[in-house]
Amino acid sequence: MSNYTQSKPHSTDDSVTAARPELQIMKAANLLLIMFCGWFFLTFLYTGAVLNLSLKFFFLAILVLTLRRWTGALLLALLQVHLFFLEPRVADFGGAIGEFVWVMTTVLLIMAVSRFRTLQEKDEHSTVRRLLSSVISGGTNAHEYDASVIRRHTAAAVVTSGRSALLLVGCCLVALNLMSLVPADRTITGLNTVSEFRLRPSGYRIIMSGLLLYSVFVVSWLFINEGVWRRLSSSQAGIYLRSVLLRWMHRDLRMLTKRRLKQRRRTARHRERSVTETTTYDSPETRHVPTDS
Amino acid sequence: MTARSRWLVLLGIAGFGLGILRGQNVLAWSSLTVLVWMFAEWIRFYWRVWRELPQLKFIRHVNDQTQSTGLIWSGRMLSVSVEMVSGKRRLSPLLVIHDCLPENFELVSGRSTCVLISRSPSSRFCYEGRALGLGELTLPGIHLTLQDPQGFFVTERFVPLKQTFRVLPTYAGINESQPLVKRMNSLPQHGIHRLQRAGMGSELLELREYVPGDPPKSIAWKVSARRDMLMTRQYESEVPVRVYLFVDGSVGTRIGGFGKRLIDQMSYVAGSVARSAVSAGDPVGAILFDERGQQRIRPAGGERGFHNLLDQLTAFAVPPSPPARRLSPALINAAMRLCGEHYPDLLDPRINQVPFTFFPISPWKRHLVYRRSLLANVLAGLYGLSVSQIIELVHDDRMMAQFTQRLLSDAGVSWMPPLVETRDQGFHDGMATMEMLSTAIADSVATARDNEVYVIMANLLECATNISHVLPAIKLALARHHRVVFVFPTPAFRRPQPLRTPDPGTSAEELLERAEGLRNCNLADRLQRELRRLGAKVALSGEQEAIRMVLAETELARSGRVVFAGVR
Repeated sequence: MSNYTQSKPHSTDDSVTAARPELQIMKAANLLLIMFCGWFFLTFLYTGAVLNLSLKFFFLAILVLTLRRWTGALLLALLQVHLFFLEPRVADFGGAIGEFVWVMTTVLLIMAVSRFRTLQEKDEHSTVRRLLSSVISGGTNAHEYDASVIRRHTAAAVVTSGRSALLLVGCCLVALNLMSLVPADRTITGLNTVSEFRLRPSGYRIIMSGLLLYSVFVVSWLFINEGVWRRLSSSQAGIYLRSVLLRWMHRDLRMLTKRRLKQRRRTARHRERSVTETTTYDSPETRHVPTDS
Repeated sequence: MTARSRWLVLLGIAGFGLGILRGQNVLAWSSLTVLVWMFAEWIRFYWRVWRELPQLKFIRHVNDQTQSTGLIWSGRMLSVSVEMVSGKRRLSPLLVIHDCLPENFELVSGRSTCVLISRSPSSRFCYEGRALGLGELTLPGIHLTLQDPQGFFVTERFVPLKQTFRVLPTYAGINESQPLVKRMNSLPQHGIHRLQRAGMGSELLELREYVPGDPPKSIAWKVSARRDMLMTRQYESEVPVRVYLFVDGSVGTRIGGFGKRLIDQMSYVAGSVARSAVSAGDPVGAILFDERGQQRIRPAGGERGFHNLLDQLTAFAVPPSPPARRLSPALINAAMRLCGEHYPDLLDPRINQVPFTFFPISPWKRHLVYRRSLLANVLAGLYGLSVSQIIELVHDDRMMAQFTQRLLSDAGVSWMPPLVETRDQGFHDGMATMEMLSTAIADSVATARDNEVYVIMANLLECATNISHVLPAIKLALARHHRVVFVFPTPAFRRPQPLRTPDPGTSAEELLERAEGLRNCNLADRLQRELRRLGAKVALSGEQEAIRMVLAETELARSGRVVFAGVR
């Protein structure tokens, strides 16, 4: 609590003692990934733009600040702005290697930033502050860990990162396949979009892609929802039943309850008033003594 | 789904739409990849929730014991370790495991939270702490926060792992003062003391003239020969000294944080006195009184009697239903915080559905009504209320306050704001306490024998001006040759000292503290004057000096003398 009406007890410094080396190693691994992706984007971002250098500095500033304050969504927005203004419009799309690397690096950067922020929330000490204090003290106050522990955790971090990278590759390929499901120049049934449906091909494509994605989402959501309902505990089920029943009958029940409460208050007020009047009449200080006049 | 993932989904959809519309394939592809990746993480997250969470098993060791009930001592260190194992597979990150601690537990070292960063078959964390006040300590269970490595999806669960301990009061091991002068000719039985009244003891009380019927054995022949008349030896009586502890458990003594309540202070004194008395072989009884009535514990000696007394004191110190109070936002907030920690799954908006209403229109008020409705549903689930009672909870402040107080009280929240209202009713509480105390003393005197020691611990400092209400009962006890010792606990645990420092300080806190000190000092002086005039002993606060004074009075009763002498 402690804990509900009082302040929480002060946390001690040796908090995440067991998880500290692996936490640091995981953070370092994600930081390395961010640095790599940052270098990649600083090299290729905004090339050809008028304010090339300024925009790169801006991106770098956002990248650094994202580690501390914002989320990866801001970086995605910056990359999307770059693509929106500088990417050429082409009709054919085959998914070339350069494009694949760009997409992979984008998602990798968002993943690394998000992971770093999540791990940072679990750590009580800032990485930058820790590095600075280590540099200032010449490494004297750095934690000494066993080499085997470091090796083990490093291997675990590499395995985790590799597994995540594989997932991202899979997602890239799935996204590519989804895009290719709806062709750009004709309908799925092979009809000419402009003449048959009075639609621009891009408009038709976005509607069809949207419907495709939405149907996949709805099917998955139905499965997940079904799973959630099947795993409700008895207390959860009780609350669900009560709250749904209450929602259905809310208007009537509210009216009845309010009326009952109003009646109860009125009765209480009436009783109070009668008690007060009686007391006033009986008290010798306020008793009115009739005079002859 | 967290805000982090909501923003990414929004940007992904926007980027994908724009990319397709404008024919910018990389923009569309990268945005769609983000969406697909988040979808995959969503599926993975739910898979973990379904497959891994139900298989988690927790074992908590408190002082190497895993039983669901037990006994502990307040103030003594407890070592707690929590072990988590998974039934079939390894535990996946990120998992935050938090052992929920009640207010009566103070964390001393270690931490009650563990963060699982990488995959592992089990996890274990340890911490140390102590119970602050006597009564009950319940470790309710484990709060789990499961999230994906990116922090896109979070779910919270509570795994009940209830362990309830009775917290016995601590006591001081005070060395008793032993007389240096030999006062007894024969060593009496353990726990038997002299009483300066005619009896069948071994010590001479007085010589008196022979009365027919006196046993010839008791005739003092030498004295009779000197005086030329038959004289009989009258012996002292030998009796056990019974110590009665009167413990006040009224509302005023239960208010405050655990370990800082007046009842904790009184139990400390009671435990110390009982320990000392039991060591000397004296039986110790108690009369525990509060608004619910009085409970009499028969005097008993030995270790069994002592532990029985402590056990009864512990049961008495467990807070009953708190006094009713008005509903306040702080009370609702405290209840919501508690529900967030102990019942996070019941606050899920998909489960706990709140009906839509147009009124109130103000967003702030709507938010308040929404929170109140959520809480009402949870309370209904916990206490088995009907649907119409839920509506009543939402609209009736009195009922809501009652159930919210019950929820907080059941969770072991201390009697402090917002659970209990701070009110300036010390005087009225004191008057009620005096009534209860008078009844308890009169009842006790009616059933007691002579030469008993009454240690009265009650919260009467606030009504020192009207102490005359309790004086008849005290006079009755003194008239029956009982020794009466008063111990008045003080909120500061210290004896009120007259403030002699000329500079009270300038801050409001310092001035208030000085004013409170002066007030307590005046009240204490008045109380002492009134009671000492009758012949009762008075000690203020639960310090060791107060315990020493009670022990000295008990020793006096044991020696059978009126005044205390010959003791270093």
